[in-house]
Amino acid sequence: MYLFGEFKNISNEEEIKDLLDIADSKKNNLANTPIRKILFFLDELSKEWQVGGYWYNLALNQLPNELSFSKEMIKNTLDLVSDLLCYDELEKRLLSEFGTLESLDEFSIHTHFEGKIQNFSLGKLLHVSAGNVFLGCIDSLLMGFLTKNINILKLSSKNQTFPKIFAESILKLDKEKIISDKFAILYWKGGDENVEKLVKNNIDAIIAWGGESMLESYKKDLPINVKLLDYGPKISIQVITKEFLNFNSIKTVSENIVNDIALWDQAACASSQNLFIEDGVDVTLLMNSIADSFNNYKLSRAKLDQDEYVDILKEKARADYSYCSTGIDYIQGDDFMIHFDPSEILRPSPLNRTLIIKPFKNILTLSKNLENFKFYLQTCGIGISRNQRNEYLRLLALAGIKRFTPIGKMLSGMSGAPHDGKFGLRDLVNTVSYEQPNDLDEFLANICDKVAFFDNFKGKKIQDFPLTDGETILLNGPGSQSESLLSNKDYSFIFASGGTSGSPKYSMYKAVEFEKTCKLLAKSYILNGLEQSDVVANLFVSGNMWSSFSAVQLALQYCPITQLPIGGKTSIEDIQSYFNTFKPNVVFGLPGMLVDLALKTQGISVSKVFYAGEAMNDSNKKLLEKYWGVNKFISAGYASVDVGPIGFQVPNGKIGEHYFFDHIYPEIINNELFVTSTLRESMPIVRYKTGDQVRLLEKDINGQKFMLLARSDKQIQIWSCRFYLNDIGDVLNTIKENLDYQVILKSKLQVGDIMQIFVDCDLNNIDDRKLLNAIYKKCKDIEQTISFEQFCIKTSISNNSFVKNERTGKSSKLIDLR
Amino acid sequence: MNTTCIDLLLESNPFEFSQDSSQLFLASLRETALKHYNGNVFFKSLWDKNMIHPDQIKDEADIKKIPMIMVNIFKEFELVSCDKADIVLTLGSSGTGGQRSLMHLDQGSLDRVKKLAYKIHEELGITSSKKYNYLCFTYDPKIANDLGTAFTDELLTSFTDINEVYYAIQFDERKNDFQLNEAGVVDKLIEFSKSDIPTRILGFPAFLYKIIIDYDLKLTFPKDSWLQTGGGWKNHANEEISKSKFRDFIFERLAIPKENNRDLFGMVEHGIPYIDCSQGKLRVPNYARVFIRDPKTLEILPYGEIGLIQFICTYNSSYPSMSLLTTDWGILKKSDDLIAGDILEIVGRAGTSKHKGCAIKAAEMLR
Repeated sequence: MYLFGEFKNISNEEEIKDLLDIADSKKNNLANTPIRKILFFLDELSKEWQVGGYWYNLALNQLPNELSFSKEMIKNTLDLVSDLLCYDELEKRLLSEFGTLESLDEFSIHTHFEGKIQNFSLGKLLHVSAGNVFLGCIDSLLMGFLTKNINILKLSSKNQTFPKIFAESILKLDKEKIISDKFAILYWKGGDENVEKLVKNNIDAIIAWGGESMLESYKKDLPINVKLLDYGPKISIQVITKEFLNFNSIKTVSENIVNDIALWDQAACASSQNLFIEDGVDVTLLMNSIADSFNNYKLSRAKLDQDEYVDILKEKARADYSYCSTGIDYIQGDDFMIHFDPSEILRPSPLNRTLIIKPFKNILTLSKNLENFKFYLQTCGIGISRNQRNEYLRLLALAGIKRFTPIGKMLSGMSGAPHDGKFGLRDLVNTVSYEQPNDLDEFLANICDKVAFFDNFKGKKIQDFPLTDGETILLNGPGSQSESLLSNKDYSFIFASGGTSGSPKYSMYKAVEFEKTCKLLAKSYILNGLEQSDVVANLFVSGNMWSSFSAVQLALQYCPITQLPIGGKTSIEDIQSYFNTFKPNVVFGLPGMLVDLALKTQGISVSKVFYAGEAMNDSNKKLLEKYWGVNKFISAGYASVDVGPIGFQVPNGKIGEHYFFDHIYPEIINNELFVTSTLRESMPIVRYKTGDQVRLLEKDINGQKFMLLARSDKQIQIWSCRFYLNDIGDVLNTIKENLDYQVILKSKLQVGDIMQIFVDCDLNNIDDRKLLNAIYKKCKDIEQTISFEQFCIKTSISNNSFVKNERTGKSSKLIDLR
Repeated sequence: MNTTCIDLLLESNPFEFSQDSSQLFLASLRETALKHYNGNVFFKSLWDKNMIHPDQIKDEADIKKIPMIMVNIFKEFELVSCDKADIVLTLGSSGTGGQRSLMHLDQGSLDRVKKLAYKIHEELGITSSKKYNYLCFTYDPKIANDLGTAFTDELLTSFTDINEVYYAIQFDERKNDFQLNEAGVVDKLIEFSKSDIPTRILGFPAFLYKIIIDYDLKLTFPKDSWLQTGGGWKNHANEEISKSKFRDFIFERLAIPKENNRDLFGMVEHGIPYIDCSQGKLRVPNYARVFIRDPKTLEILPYGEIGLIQFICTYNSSYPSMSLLTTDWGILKKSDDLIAGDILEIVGRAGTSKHKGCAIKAAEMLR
């Protein structure tokens, strides 16, 4: 017996009771252990169990003395232990069931739910293991570890050695006592009512693997507060159609059939017991081929006991009876038997490599017959044609099949797959909700706990938190030396922005945060007129760590439309071709780029444009109306990469009018908008300077309305690029120091936006191309967005007099006339 | 009516084993086998597949070659070798394992099974012309007239003169099911123990054992009272005690002499009763042959080794169970006393391997 970290015998009920009390005292400790710590430990254990290692060899030497399986079968099974424990496999299981690992450690954001959830262990878990596949009890134990339960493993009389060796390997490796003192291994004779009663009354849940009598024994008098998770008894089958056999080698099919039967001698619930073959399949040919495969199967059968031989004798008697009506005799080898039974009704096999082949007329009769055994059905190894797939899977699933695999793969399940029609790990936790809305106070408390940058602000009010800006992100965000703005980087996206001049800023979003962001965007798209059956071309520029294309793509995924993820940097010819083929009626993109495209493409008709990145000015609108026939221009949302979605528009709203999303806490400081986003906990956005001037309007049913006015800094937004006036100044300074200049932005029909740069000296000797190259070098966004030729057309460098304000007589360095 | 070989066999002493008795048995076997061969398609198919014909059964060694039908087939399929119109009685097994066999008897077979039962009991000193009270731990045959055990008990009561018969398992109309009337049994036991007329208690040993324990009975039955058990401990296997301890127990609690405590092993599919002699040994009569077989190879095992029991009989021409492979473990021993004929020991139920895992077994789905 193994008792929470030591090998020791216990002999009476009182000691078992004490043991269960000890288990109680360990719950909290394990609940506080980060799940990754458990995974890392198990991954280390995985290495200890590699083929040929100490524990592997120990088990290989000892198990044949206890188990009836052949030594090769034992070896084959031991080969799986290391993989079972490795990080990737375990993580996959957890992610399949819980979506994130985080939810096992702390209250965390859930994709759809507005509050937070955390998955807590049920507490004390009794595993009643079956003796069929000795690895099964270890897998059950792992389920307990992964869900942070305290585990009591009740051994099967037929499988005692392996769990003890496994416990020893944990004990030796686990210096930190991560899990070694969180489980116990016990044995008592099945049916011992006194012990079972004691355990039932002192446990939180029982996970029971095995036959019906065992399950009934645990169900009996089970206190209402104890959860019973029963796995078994189950039956699995194979189904093969004529069409499938027409297109597959009978030899390969037979080998695969045998694989599903011979491994663990049909003792697993996923082992095939009946092979259903469609009428018209040559039974004798198939039986002979399967027999050949059995004869060539590399692992020999277990030693059978006398009773098992009797069970096989019964099947032989049935086979004799079948022979009378079919004329097809059974085939028996040294360690297998194949019987063609003409009845279409499912019938359990005596196991130990006894295959019962049964005919079926068509999928309707097969599924109807199987339906009577709905409760018992588990896996179906399926050999059907592609044409048959939908109907077969649907009808068999309705009949009770819980899992489909290709023939030959029934016993090698995919990591993270559900078992017996349910996700098993979810059953071992209580999913606890924290229905406190993630309001500002809650958000601030959380980030102070998790993010080093805000360590010193615990308990303080929002007004006491520092104002932040792009520089804050540059110095503390992803890629910075401290990364003190980050909680952790698990399952996150990192996007770049503002790389026009100097270093780009990086913003991190947790996967679930990005998903939520995109869902908000999707809602606003639908609100603003994206309709079912729209065909949408996403023409934002993809790649380069930019967020817009990805965000729109994911957001559109949540809309009832068809999307064409084309990308803004695709060649004109290809874009033209995609438009001609799929005829999108909605386009998402940057206004400047869309205008360029409109000028260069022909015969395209688009009714709606969703734009972002810059304003849609009148000249752009007119161009798009003229060339594409656009009749609806909709802002794709007021957002930035750093912050995420900030505001949304409503249909028929005035230009510039927006509403704040619920997760935005706005502050207006000197007419400039600063925001805190409670959506962003992994890299918190707190009192962040947007650079936009806004005016708050009234509140209405949609929330707080505001008017977006202008940039408060000297940022230039043109051709879908953002850069600063100073960037132009810096370039001109390389030509001549202290050069005065003026930049004027204009819109021109037929041409689009232009930027004119005026300087106050004679630059006749300056090579225009050289100057433009210098601008490219400084402002990489421009280089990546606008070709040299385009840029030349739209840029004018002149030594004309600066434009002056008529009233004040002063000239401004930046004049936006668009 | 022509006298058949089987009729001749049943005229003979069931415990006489000689060259002549062997020939009588072989002749009856050929005769019955031929009837099944011609009357049952499956039987014929099995013999043909094994390339053997009834005419080829010439000596005792040939008997070992005849094909067997395993008992589960009779539980799963309805088999008959005669015209269905000729069937006069159908008896069902108890269905302990979840499935029941139905044995069909034509008039000849019914008469013969009664006759052979009487002959065997007579030879073992169990029949009597005296009057007895009967307490039967079985179903009232008037209601459960298709059940083998009820038939047997009714038959057994006919082997003596009768004063009164009390059937302990009675139909409860409220529950719409048969119930053991425990209180009624206790009353009857007390009543019969005080009677001058001796008593014969028939039926499942577990029921009587449990009632004696539960009601802490200690009674003195009149001399020449008997306990004739049968049917094994069935669902009370965990309470089973050895035959000798049970005999001691019954003697101590009911004062029934040990030599009058006789167990019977029978199967509805087979029909031959294997009955304890006064020393408590189940005797194999010449009306049957018993072999013990290895479940893996089906080889016949020597005396003293445990294996699957195969029964062969010849009296039944309407039901093709003449060579029956059972799912019971048994041992065959040579007689070591004055009664000829082998001794059969029943070891237990076979094919009940403990469930190893979560793959279903047939018995579970049948529940």
